[in-house]
Amino acid sequence: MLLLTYQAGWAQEPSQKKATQEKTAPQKTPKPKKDFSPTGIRIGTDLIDLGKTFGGKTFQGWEVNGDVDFANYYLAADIGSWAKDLQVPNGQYTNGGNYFRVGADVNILGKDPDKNMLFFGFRYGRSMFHESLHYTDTTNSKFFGIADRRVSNSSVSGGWAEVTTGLRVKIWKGLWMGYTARLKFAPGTKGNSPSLSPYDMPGYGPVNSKPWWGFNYQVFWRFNWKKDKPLPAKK
Amino acid sequence: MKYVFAFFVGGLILGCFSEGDCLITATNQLHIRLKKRSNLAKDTAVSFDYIQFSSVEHSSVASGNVTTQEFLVPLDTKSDSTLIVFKRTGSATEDFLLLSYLRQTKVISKDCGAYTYYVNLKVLSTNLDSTQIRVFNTVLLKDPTSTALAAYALNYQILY
Repeated sequence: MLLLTYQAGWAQEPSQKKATQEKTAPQKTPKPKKDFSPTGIRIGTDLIDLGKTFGGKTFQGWEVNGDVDFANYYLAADIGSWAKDLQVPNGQYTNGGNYFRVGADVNILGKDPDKNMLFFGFRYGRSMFHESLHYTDTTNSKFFGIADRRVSNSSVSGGWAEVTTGLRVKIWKGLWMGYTARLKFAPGTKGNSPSLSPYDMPGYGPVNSKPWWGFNYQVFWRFNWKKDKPLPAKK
Repeated sequence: MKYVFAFFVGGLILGCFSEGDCLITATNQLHIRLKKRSNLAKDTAVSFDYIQFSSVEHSSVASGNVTTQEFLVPLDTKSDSTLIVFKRTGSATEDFLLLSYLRQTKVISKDCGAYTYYVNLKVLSTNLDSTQIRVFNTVLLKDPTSTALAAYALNYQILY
């Protein structure tokens, strides 16, 4: 009998504890599930490239940037083109080509109601370009005279990687502005003629500078196809 | 303290945009050192009646009546091959090296300009025994801070 009473008492203990816990612990509301379906696409362009194209004579180029949101993650892609006509101390260098980058960003201001962004991300870039150089080789002109050399690469392809950071701020309705800073590294090229080492890769910059920096000041228009879910009100 | 840190970071970032000094390592001077065949540790001075270099367009004497342990010979800047002929004093025959190479252009930077590097150096033909030639460097390079003979990368050792 005693044993039965003890057993019954022992069996009731955990349920009593649970009941006390339920009384004291604050009621947890289930976290709203993140909606990863995209709500729109943002298309923009780099104002620095346009400024350099219209304001100078040595650079011609453009760049179109786009991203699509998946909650606070963004799939980003850029396409662009640049051509340079550079005067070097002993000659003239010209190049031209197209490039693209693909990658992803993460917005660390995830709870901003306007979806303003302070982001970090990465990109992988590819470039297809041509280049030519006309220069005067003054090396040991004592015996051989001055050599006038023309060298070119008709079709070079290359790639590189980037880590990015920047801001995107909603200005008005669908108008957004922002900047992207890029740390570019690991450039590689193939398809060049052995007589000219590639110098300037569109999208990257001087191939022998590792790492290299890039900066875009961008204006965007965002096309929404779905209203973003309102954030749960704070209690 | 935070201003010192900001200044340091700013300087570091600016440094990444700096083009730096134009230190050019390109040269067309081939560096040959002469060694004793019986003892590779020892340099040997050899007397030459002349050391000559020539290509399709040019023929020039680099030096005549010289006794030396090492010398520089310029490679033709307008051709992809150069013939080097050297006549030892007292020898009935001339020795020759027909060299081929690739002239590779590199733009160092916008401010430094473009330079020709001589790479992939090969002996196409020679009358010397293959054991007499030791290859050290197939690229012609020099230390831009010095004009001394030792500033040029050693390309070949010839054993006499």
